[in-house]
Amino acid sequence: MSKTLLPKMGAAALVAVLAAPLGAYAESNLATGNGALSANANVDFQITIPKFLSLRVGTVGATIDMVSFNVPAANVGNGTPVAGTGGNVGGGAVSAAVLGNSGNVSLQATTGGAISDGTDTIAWSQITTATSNPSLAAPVLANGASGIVTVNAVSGVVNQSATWTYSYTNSAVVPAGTYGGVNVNNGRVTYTASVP
Amino acid sequence: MKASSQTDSRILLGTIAVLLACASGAGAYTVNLTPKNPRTIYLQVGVGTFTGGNYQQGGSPATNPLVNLVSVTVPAAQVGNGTAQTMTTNSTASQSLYDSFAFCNLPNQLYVGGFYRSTNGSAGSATATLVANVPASLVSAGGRTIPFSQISWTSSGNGDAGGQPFPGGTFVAGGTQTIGTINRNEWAESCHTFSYSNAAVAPAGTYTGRVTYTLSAP
Amino acid sequence: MASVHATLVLASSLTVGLAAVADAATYRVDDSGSLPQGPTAELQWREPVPSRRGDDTLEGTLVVLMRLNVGPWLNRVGRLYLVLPEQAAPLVRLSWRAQGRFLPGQAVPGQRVLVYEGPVSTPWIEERLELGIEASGSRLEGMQPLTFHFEIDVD
Repeated sequence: MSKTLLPKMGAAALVAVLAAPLGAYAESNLATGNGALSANANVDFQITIPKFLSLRVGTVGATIDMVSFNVPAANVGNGTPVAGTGGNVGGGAVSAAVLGNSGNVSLQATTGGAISDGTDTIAWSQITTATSNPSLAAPVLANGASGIVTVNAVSGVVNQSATWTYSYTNSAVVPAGTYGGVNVNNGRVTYTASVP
Repeated sequence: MKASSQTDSRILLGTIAVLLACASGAGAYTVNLTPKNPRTIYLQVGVGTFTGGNYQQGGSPATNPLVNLVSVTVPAAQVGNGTAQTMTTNSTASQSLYDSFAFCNLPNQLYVGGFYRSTNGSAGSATATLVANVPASLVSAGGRTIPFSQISWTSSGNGDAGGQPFPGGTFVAGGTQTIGTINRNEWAESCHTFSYSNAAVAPAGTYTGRVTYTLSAP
Repeated sequence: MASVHATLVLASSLTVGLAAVADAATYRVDDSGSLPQGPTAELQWREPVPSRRGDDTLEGTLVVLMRLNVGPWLNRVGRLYLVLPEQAAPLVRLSWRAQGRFLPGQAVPGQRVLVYEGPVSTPWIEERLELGIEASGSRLEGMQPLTFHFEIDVD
């Protein structure tokens, strides 16, 4: 029995290019006399940093990673968590990273509902996610939308990375079958990062 | 007769004395030389003003109170990636006001130039020094900061070879630094191309700061 | 007879003395009667704005009335020179134009320039000179004197 979990890497990049107005003109100055002389000229400098937000879960690029759980028949429902396979890190783990420059980032995971084999279902709560970095906690998977995880900014910038490792709790005997899949049977998780 | 001879002798002796004095030389005509309006400095950063055209056209240096802008907008995908971002200026000064030579290339280059007129009337008057008074940071409306030390510049000028009077460098945040010097009785000019180091992810915002350049002669 | 003899002796002595003054030689000419005495010439930058190559010439003009005592060489033929000696003032060039008999000319420090050649027919030579002065501004330290004088060569 295997369940597939297909987390989607989604990146919400908010770009706001602020205008750089301040049209002006430059400065010249003249001084004359018999003693010490000085002349001043001013220049204004301006750097515009647009808002941006970057989220990575799994392989960089368009690839959507697959995390699979194969439960041995003898262990079905015995309560012993089953480690996954796959993910860009391997062993059912993916790389996660959030980079943004407009304050705290909200993270959320969304599924289409409980994972199904076409007939029976397993709740997404049976898939847990452990993080290697407490500053980048993983949203708790749910049937539908998860709760919001806040990734705190430091001086207005979020720059966190972690390894998220998935595990199947195997806490109940479920009917035999293949639950989830490549974007089928609610097997896909979509992560979304957002800033106000 | 005797009296007559004595008189003649005295006259003749007196004449001899006068002639010898002239022959021995005296006299040198002296004129005292003094400079009028001996000292002038002119500084231009960006667009400047010469009333009546450039100098070779008969123009005269003047004060221009307005201020130019050097700026950059970092592409969102490059924020903080360490790739230096070239800044541009809204200055329209591409030509030297001395002779209208097309010295700087717009919009990347900011004109920095001036001249120093002086006699040798005071100690240390061989050069005028240009310094920049630099704030610690550029500041956004939200109070975020980017250190001025993240901005540096290269120096050049069309047709120039060798060193520039105002060489390239990096701003010293919160300090006063020497930008270059102008030798006595010379016109000196450079074109500065500024860049932002983009070495760290900065919070979103528009950051501004003003640098004051000061040319001084002792 | 003695008085006559004495007169002759004196006359002879005088003649001998005059002959000594009249030897071919160069003599400094007294110009102490010239006007004005000790004038000031205000020099201005030839170019108010210097070039990139640098230029530091100060220039100015001054009108003087030279009054030269040439009486000792009266009725002689002489060559009168304006002499511009080496001096502390950072002078680049002195030029002059005259309204009378003097030749126009110019000199740099260390030069001696002919201004008149011919008979000395009057005990005083008066000449209005319009002086043109060029100096090195980079070396001019405040107010500095410029001196020149005249010499006469007689045969």
